[in-house]
Amino acid sequence: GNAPVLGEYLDCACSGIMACSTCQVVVDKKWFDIVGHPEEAEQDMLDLAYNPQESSRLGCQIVLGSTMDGLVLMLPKGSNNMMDNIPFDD
Amino acid sequence: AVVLAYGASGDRKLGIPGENLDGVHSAREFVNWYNGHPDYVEKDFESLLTRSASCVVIGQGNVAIDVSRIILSSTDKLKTSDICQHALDALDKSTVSDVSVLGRRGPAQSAFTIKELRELTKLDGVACVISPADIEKGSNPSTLEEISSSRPAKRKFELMKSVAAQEEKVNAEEEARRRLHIRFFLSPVAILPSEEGGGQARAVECAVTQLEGAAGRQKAIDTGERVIIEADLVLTSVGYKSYGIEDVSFDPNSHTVPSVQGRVVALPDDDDRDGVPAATPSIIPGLYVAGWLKRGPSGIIGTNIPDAKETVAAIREDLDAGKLGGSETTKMAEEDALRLARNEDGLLVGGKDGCKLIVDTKGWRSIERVETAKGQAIGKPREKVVSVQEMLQIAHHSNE
Repeated sequence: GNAPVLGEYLDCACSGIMACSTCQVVVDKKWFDIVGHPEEAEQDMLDLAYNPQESSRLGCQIVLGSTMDGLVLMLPKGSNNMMDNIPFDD
Repeated sequence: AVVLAYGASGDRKLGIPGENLDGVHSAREFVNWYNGHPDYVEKDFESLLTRSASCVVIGQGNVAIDVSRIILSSTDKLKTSDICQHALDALDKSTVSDVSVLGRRGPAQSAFTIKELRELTKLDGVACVISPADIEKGSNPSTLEEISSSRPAKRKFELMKSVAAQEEKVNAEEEARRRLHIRFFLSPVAILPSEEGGGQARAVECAVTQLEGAAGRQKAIDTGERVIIEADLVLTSVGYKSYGIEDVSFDPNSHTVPSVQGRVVALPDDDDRDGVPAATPSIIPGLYVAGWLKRGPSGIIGTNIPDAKETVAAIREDLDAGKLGGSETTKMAEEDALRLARNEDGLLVGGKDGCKLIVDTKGWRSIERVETAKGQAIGKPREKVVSVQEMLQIAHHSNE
């Protein structure tokens, strides 16, 4: 579908096809069940990420929806937060 | 500023007898052949594939897994990928039904990553075999300690255990499937020639090893026992190696360009001033290095990104401090390599004597269009152009 994917807002080296781990995020524990847990193939790629945590996900695999309004994520140190570069009117 | 980022295009050698026998190649050569590298497409892997029943791959990194997967995959699955047609045709006729991937140490010390291993266990028509004895031997205290502190290592080991648990069932199979054996504790000591003395490889002789040492520092020790594994095709996959270039410092032991935070430095031996060795390495102004050439040939996208950031930070710092421009290196770059011009045919040229034909983005896209169109005609994402001559022809003479 055309639902936005979280990976679009993050550093992404492989064009979002789950072939790297640059878009790793750590989902806030309260949100992990809502966002969903990673399947086996995604877990394999998370193994290569920088310091993966229990609630890590790959941004390119998280499809955003209305249930995620207010979603809290942490970016690993060293990740580029692309949101810093988007000129929102505050 | 000049940044050296040309990676590692050479192969580490095993340094054992028989390495130059017919039928022995580096895995990288094989990959270059099926991926369409112009310098390797003429290599006669077809003869090797059609006269061999078994193949041994020495090494257990992702490249070793890749070549095993290509040799054992059904061409039905491969033919919708962009693997080159000449390779597909050769693989169609291949008689190789058995591939053994050998590692010097145990399962937990293998360098391949879990995603690649999992793909191998799911290959159509291929049985993946790991021996329970290797798992047992590879579960020594130091290894268990290594695994317990690493989630990736733990998951990979569990996957290998589950494959080994199937070994009896697989061996009892009636159905004749192609076999992939992942074997451990085997260190090649010689590649043996065929009796006929034709200079062809026929087997790999290995020392049986065992692990010794503390967690994280375990070594493979020769037990004295020997095992001989038959193979007509031997692919060595024990790491890449960078080459040095003229007039640039190069460490002959690590095969890397010596650097500090991305800035290239002189080698200690070349660094004495008036016969007294320098206390800290001398930085070569304007010259930088990044990637495998800096750190050695291991690591993935995730490791190269911080590496690149370090080098870029150094360039930025030097730029801001006015240290760029006017240096010898920058002058050389400006005078020689980067001067571009149009020759009498209107083609972009550059290089020392202004003769090297340059392919710009427009030219690259012309090549891409041709490859995509050729591929679509036969159900592939692209069919690569494998000759440099042809590429230049397309890049410089397309009508738009």
